[in-house]
Amino acid sequence: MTESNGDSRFEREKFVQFAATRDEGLRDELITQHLGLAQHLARRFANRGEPLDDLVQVASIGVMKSVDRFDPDRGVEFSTFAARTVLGELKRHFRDRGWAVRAPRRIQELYLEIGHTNAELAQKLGRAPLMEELAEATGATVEAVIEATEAGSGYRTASLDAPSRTEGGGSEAIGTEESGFEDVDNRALITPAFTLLPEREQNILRLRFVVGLTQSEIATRVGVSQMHVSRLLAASLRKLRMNIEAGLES
Amino acid sequence: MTEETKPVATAELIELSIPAIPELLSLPRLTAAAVAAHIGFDLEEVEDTRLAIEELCLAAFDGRGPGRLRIRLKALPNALEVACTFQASDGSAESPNPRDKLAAELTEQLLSALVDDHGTDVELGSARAWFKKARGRQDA
Repeated sequence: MTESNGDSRFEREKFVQFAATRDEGLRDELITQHLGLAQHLARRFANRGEPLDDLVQVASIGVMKSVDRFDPDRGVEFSTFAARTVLGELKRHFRDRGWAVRAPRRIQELYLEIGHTNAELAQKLGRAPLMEELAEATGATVEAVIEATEAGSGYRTASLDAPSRTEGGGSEAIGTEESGFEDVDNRALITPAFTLLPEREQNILRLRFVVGLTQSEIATRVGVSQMHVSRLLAASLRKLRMNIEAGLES
Repeated sequence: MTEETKPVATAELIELSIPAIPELLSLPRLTAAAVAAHIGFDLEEVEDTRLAIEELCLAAFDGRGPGRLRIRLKALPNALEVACTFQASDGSAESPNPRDKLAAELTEQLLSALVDDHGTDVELGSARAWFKKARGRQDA
């Protein structure tokens, strides 16, 4: 018997054991063993307008679902089953994001203009500007400002690595772990569903929902714009919900 | 309240009824943003309102079968009230799948940070989730 056949049999035995026991520790072990597949498949979809970090995240969830659903008695290799599931997740991700990249150019330009104007007005007024004030300053209607901020928001799963006009991305600025969260009793923000998020996204979620800083305060603290923080919060929450849905709560 | 803002004269009620699918949540988000802007919320408060209504809607139909979301937005002079009720297609009021505990905790944590008051109750036999967000909290 070759070494690879031995590995394969050993792996199958683990899946048989997991199917019988649904042991969480074994589940974690199987998931970890196959995360390389997620990275490999995510890279195949790189350079299509979506950040690699996001794709790896989506593909990792595909691996988790595969581990949960795999039936070792069907005679199919796990890698075959998982690849199909992961590719399905990635394709669905692109399908779901499709609408976002088709925002009209005028809306995209207005969104950038609002970001610029928001920062200027906030400094001038000493508070966050009203939508009406943003509309007046940009020469747009309030409705257009609402539409642009919706289109440009994190509901399209914006990444910290996405470039913005006012700052160079934000990964570096937000990458440092904030201290002082140790005493916080908040299960939703300490579980694997949360810790699977990139560290910088965990940090910004904690600052908003655990420490209780406003978006502007977070923006000042990490050196990005308030609108960038807003976008990141929405995107990170969507990923967190996706992780919880994938069963990563224990 | 800031000097520049103008209070809304009378309470206004906006009602939405949409199929309970995540792809359509842009409708309540946009509506809530428009009403919040009308009341005089600043950009940051509008963004928080968008996050809050999305969470409210997701919480309302999480774990349930096909159905519709009925969303009521009430514009008060200094605040926005939002309530969301899920109506199952088969008419059942009870969820067949109780909400995941962690998801429920996340909803609680998010709404606590985003709005001034929130809760759940029963309206005409259906579970209703609601929140209230006032403007100018940072000025207080």
